[in-house]
Amino acid sequence: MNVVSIDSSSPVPPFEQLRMQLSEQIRSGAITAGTQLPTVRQLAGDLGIAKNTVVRAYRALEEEGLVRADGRAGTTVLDIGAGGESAVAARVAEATRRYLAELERLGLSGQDALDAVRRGVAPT
Amino acid sequence: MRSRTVFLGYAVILGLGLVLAEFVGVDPGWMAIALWSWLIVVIVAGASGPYTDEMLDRWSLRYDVAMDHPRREWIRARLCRARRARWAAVGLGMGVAWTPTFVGMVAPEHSGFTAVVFLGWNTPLIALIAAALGTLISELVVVQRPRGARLAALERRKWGHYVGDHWRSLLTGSSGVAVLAAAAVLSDRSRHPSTDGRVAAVAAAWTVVALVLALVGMRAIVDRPLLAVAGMDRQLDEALRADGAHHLVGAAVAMSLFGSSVALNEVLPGGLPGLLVFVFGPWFGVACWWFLARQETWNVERVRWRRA
Repeated sequence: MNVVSIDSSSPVPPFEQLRMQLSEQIRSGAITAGTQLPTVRQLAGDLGIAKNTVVRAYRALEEEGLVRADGRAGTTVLDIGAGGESAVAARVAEATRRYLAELERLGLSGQDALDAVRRGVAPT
Repeated sequence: MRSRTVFLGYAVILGLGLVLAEFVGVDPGWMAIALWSWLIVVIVAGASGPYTDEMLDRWSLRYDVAMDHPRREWIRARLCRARRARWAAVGLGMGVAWTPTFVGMVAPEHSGFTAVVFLGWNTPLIALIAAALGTLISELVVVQRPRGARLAALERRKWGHYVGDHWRSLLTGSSGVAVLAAAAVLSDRSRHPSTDGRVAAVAAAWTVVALVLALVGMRAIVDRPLLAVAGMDRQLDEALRADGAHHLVGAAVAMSLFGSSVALNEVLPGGLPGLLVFVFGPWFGVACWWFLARQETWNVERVRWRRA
């Protein structure tokens, strides 16, 4: 059974915690395509968080192309395999995005990032 | 309350009433009031009794759940509280429904008040709506937020996981029939000279109230926070939801079938068809209620798995 949790002591906002867990489970295939996610009311009630937090997380997943919100039918998980992005590739892409965001925060360019990676993978 | 006490109470009230009416000249209406009040007391007191081990075993068999000792006491307390709320509401509903009659007896000069609740069959309907409301209230007041880690299972809960979808169809269908019947009477009075359409309209309104009550109540039951994501606690939580759903939908179905039978009786030509609908419709509704609230076995996990 797939489960999500919210850690109230974490500095990561609840919306981001929820988005990350759902995203990871969808990309890894733990939640299969066609699965209906719980309604906003249900998930917000179970997790003890505001409905807007769940709405925001679902919207972010929709923007990532992982789910489709369809009024009465609710939120359904999309088939991301058919789009050419495998689960592993998706996780690499996610890690790269996070890496680049961190370098940008440190004031480094894309070239610096590439150099750092080259240094990292070069034989010692 | 023991049946012996119930009958003894009735016998005492009846005997005393007859004696007072015969020898003192007291209005026999007072006896009727006392008998009705006794019935309400019996209902409320009966529901306040203990939830016995036998009842609990029957409940766990119905919903196919096992429970250890601490959980058994927790479930007993929950079921006891829910039953008390339901039947207290029924008692209250009966009291409300009979108030105009009481007023008519006690203060005949204010008997115009009885016109407020002008339908002879209002008592069972008000008792039914009260039962449904009592169930809803008992569901809403027992919300327990899970403590500790905030977890959620990524399974969508639906009406059909807790009570059959066909009951919703029956509710919608009977409500639709009642509304159509009322509309037919109101739109063409010349074809229905025996009625002014008031009874059909109110009966149809009752069925709509039943439908709305069921929908709102089921939403509250389905969306109530989950107590645990797995294990015995999860199974018991789901069984409690199914139990609440069965009671709520049962009362709503009874109310809706009662209302639609009355509305149909207004529109059907006199004679056997109308009589049959009027006589059997409400009884069928009460049978549905009894079946849903007391008899139907239900395993939430199995239903969910079958529907997946």
